[in-house]
Amino acid sequence: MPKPKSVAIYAANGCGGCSQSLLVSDRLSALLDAVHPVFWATQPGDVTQAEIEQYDDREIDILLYAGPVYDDESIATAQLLRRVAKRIVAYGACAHLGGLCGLANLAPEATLHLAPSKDGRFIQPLSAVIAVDYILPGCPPPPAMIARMVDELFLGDELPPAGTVFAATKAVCAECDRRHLATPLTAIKRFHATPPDPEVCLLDQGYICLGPVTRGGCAAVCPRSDRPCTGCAGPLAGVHDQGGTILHALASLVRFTGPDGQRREREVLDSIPDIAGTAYKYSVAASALKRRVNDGS
Amino acid sequence: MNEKSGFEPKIVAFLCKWTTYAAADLCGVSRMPYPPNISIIRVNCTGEITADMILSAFEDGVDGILIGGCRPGHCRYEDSNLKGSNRVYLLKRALKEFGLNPERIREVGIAGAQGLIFQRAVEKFTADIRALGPSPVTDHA
Ligand code: SF4
Ligand code: SF4
Ligand code: FES
Repeated sequence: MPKPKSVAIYAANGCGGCSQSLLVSDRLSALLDAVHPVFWATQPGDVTQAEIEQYDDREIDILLYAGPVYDDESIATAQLLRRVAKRIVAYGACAHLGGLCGLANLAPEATLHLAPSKDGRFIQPLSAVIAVDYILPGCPPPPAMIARMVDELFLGDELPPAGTVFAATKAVCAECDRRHLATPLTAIKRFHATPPDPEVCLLDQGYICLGPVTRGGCAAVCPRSDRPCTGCAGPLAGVHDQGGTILHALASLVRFTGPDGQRREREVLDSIPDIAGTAYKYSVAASALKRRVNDGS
Repeated sequence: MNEKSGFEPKIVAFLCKWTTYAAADLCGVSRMPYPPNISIIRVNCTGEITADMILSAFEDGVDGILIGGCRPGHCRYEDSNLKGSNRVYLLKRALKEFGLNPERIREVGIAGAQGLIFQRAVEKFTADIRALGPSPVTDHA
């Protein structure tokens, strides 16, 4: 495909953060100089299905889709957008993984305010319902990743290969310069209760940091700001279930010696609060199990 | 929904090659039958079983997972079986939040000479999973 000439942004189902991230990007003017903006939908109703139908098949060169899909209407809209767009970017954690919204997949159905899709799947990543060409991770996508997407997708001579994720291949830890401790983990800490040591790896201090299982590319902004990585960029390549894999790592790090070592280790594991909300903060809908099931227990 | 009576559980067993796998092998050479519901995957140690292995099996539609390793203190790789067990322990907490019954995972430690114990463990686990019914995870990758 030659250089794209048009872009459309469909962020109607998102929280607004993804639109904001593009608005404040230092590449916004370069993007708008390079391509013609077809529409920028920031809330439901900004672009209706009837309006999308007016476009020819594959008329829009690049579509940035932000927000999750969650019901029959949003699935139908995504399918329409697929028809009128040549290339689609899943923009941000909700389109990429279901995002924070995906936590609703763990809630009992009776407590939800929206009717789930006919098939009962509720929050889904965009790629679960249509083919997605590129992924821009993040909640919202960090400036460096947005810059990379604009440079490679809109300003380069050739389009990046299909499937490109505009992030790093190494984990967040590779971009974090906190130093490691040789001592094992013996307690779980929460950063609002105990301030972390600014130089030492947060995980080594007992703060649950998803850096080891999360794709880098954000320059480790959170651990650099004394906040654990919560995993917004999604699983590292090669990791299938981001939440399960950080739990695996955590259980490996906790260690006591002596005859009642395992009992004390399990006490520490028992003390981990809000286990799914922490380990799967953005990735419930993209996890192996995807949503709450009813197992009669 | 499947009638529980006509339901044949699909079970994956991750077995340590040093002990529980050897016990399964002993069952085989001694012609001691055990339910054909289990598919055995041989691992070097239960400490090498990852969360992705367990979760992918559930995603692919298995009804139960049997983890068979060395007994505590007998692991060939120091206390890797205990580490593996801690990981399963923590993963079960997450499975509960997804609504999946943690009883669908069972850990056993069976020495290589204990073919009979292995046979009974498989019979018992198969019966228990049969009673639980099919896994509710139906959205396969
Ligand atoms: S676990 Fe977190 S704090 Fe530790 S090195 Fe990785 S990103 Fe940095
Ligand atoms: S450190 Fe983690 S949570 Fe923070 S922006 Fe990077 S990937 Fe996202
Ligand atoms: S070697 Fe058998 S469980 Fe570790």
